[in-house]
Amino acid sequence: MPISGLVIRLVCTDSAQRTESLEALSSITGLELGLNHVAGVAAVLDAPDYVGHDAALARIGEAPFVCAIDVVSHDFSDVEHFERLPREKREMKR
Amino acid sequence: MERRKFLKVSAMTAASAALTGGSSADAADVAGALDPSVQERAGSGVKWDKAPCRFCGTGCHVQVGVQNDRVVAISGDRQADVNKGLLCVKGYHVGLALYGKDRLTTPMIKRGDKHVPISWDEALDTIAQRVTHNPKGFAMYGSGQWTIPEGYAAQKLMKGGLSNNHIDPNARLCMSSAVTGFISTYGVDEPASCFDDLDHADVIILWGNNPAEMHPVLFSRLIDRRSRGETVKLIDIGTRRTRSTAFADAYLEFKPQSDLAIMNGILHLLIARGTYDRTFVEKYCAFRHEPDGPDLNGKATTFEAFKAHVAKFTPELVEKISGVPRAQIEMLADLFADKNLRITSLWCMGFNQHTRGTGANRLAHAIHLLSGHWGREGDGPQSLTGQPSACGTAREVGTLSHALPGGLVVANPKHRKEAEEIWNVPPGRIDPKPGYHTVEMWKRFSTPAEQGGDIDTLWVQVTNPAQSLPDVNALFAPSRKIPGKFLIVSDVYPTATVRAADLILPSAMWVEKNGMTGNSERRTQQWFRMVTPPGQARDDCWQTIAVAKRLHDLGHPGMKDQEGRFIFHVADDKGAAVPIWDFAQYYKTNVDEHLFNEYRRFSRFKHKDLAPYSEYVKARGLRWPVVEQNGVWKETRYRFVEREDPYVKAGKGIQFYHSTSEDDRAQLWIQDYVPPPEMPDGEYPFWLCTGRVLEHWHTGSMTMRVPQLRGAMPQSYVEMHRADAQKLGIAEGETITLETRRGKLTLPVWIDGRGRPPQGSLFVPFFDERIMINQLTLSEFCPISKQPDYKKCAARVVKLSRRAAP
Repeated sequence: MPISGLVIRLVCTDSAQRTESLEALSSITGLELGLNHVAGVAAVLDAPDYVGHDAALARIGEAPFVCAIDVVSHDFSDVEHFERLPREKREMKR
Repeated sequence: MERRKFLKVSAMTAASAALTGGSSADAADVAGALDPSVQERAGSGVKWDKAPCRFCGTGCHVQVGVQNDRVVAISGDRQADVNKGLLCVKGYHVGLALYGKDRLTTPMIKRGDKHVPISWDEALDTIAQRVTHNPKGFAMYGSGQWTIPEGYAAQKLMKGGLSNNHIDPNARLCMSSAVTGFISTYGVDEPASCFDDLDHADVIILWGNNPAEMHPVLFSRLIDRRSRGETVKLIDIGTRRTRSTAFADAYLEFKPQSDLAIMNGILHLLIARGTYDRTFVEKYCAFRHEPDGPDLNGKATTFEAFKAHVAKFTPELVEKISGVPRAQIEMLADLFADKNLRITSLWCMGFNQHTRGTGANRLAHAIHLLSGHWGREGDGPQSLTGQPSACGTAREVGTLSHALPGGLVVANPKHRKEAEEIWNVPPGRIDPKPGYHTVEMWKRFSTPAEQGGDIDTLWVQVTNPAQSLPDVNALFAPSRKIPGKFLIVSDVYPTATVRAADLILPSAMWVEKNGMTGNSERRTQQWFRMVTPPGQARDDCWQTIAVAKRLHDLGHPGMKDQEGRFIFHVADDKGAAVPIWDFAQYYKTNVDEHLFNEYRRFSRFKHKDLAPYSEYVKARGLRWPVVEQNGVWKETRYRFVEREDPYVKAGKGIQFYHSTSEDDRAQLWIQDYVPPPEMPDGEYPFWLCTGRVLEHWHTGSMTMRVPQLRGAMPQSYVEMHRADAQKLGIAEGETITLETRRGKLTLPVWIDGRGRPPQGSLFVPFFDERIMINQLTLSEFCPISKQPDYKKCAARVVKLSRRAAP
């Protein structure tokens, strides 16, 4: 159950784009949005496990007008190490 | 407060603080939230302390959360200037790197074809006996991941104790061309500028560099500035499109090795158009050439000779050599001609791993010096390093085979005398002849004694040469079949090198031991041990000292100083010797502090002054020279610049006070374009380039054991252009055979993947020990720096009949 503090960087040219981006981010399970600043949005991602953590990060990255995600803190004190085996084959997509 | 809720509040406040620089009301309580005492009061049970990240040369600071003798949390350190609270994907997983299930926990020796556990006593005796038997046949191979005290102890054992200069770090493979570039230009090593440049530059030029993956926190400064509405122009000059390219305003794709032609072309246009900075050149620059072939020191020449040399690099010729359109060469020259701009150049392995690596570095400095883009915030050349202490240990402690601590060299009698005095060893103890550099050391270890292979015992610490040396089939593998060659490896996991070792020593890592490192901007950093290493794993520094003590007890005269004391003698407050060679006693005192205080005396010789140890305990690193002024230890952001560098005399403006020409001038070198030693041909039609990826640290020995990082990038691959794949009938994900004149291996193809090489080029990362790309690379090296070229050799692709498993 990792908890990460995130800075989500946006590239919006107007408030409508920003609203669209924030709405999409708000719909992501486990993601709590905080300070909305010109340089980005502060957020916390509380995921049930690392699979969920990875999936949520991917969804954040796919949200409109998101250009980068900076992780500023990561708590894994409740995570059982090596809770899943790594994939040995990478799925390669265009 | 409920525990998880508290953790979430802490995470949110950390993110808010990172976003605002701690200035907003929303982030106002972050300092309290992250303060250890507040966390402990809140009942989290987590104790926090600072440490630099274990991985790259950026030197981000993390806050490490420890509970029940285990690292349980990582947070970016908001007080750190380098990362301002941010971390990259490796950084926030750094704590998990300690907890792979296959940590080495006991010494082992090879008996028959098996490794069997032995005691530390037996392991140390084995080493001491081999060294005693043939002290000149002994070599040490370390890394830029050695902490400063670890490297210093190894350096002193070898050069000050055994009179043996056969010690070299893997940093030879990653930044020795930067060293020779700095020394030949400024008369002294290491960047004069610092990371503050990234906050002030109008233009950032990436010379064969991909910081979005390799130095992501530094790259995030650019993203951050842009997201705040600032205009920062990014020019990416490379041989393959990368994640950094995606953010670039201009991408200039050049043919491998032709970067020297491009830089000569810029120099030519600046002079031909009269747009160079005449005043800066007249005040601060001199010119140099190599009439007798590649040479670190060269001979003085004139501006006219320099001008005549670069004149042949017309835009037309440069376009022909490099493939970069002349308009783009002119665009670069125009940028450097504009004195109102602040331009930062960044480079790393693209320049350094190059058969003309020294030349590439020299020319980058020359462009900035000729154009006067030097010495202001955001305006100068900045070489990046790949390892956390490539600068702090390999360069400053001087673990290279020709060097001594503090920028001194073994070949200089005055320098040897200074070192012998600090070490209190008899005059003449230090051998004046440089030892073997990395490629030569391994070549001799992989050659039978009767054929000149005079290294028979090699001790590797903190690195994985079986995977990272170039052309490993020639440089590493033969040693494992030659009788009498004995390989000792200190490491934390069973790497490819460990598995090939005759003797394995389990090491403590990162916050399992005290440490100090030095990052790419001259910043010296410190941390304390926070958790206990597993099993019998022990500090590398202790291992070195314990071997030295065994040699002392066997009667080796070099293990005593002039008073007859052990060369690693440490006394307590009452003057009594502390037996630090006994691991049970090792942490009864702070060995790092003792070693650092001795090492610090070397730092004054080349104006690389270090502060007392206690200052580093308080700080998130300090950039040398650190000089006491009015009772305060003050760091230096910009070297050689008046009012920044305390050694620059008033009124000088800029003073290159280590100038080779002894007139306070930097040297601009005449450097020609020289074709690479191996180029694609009819038999091997592709260029092959190798490198790193965001998720993995070097050979992946730590990061491949972090499930998230391995999950994100589980396997190596070859990047190929779609047109090349179509021509060969190769599909995405298909396994192919990749061959060079040195070997072959099979791996899957990634078309239009994260990196996109142009037609005729391939790229393979080196993190995956199952796909050892260095079986294929070239061991040719820069004749001055001795750094091999991992970035270009000729290869071919052979399609297999079967398709890869899905």
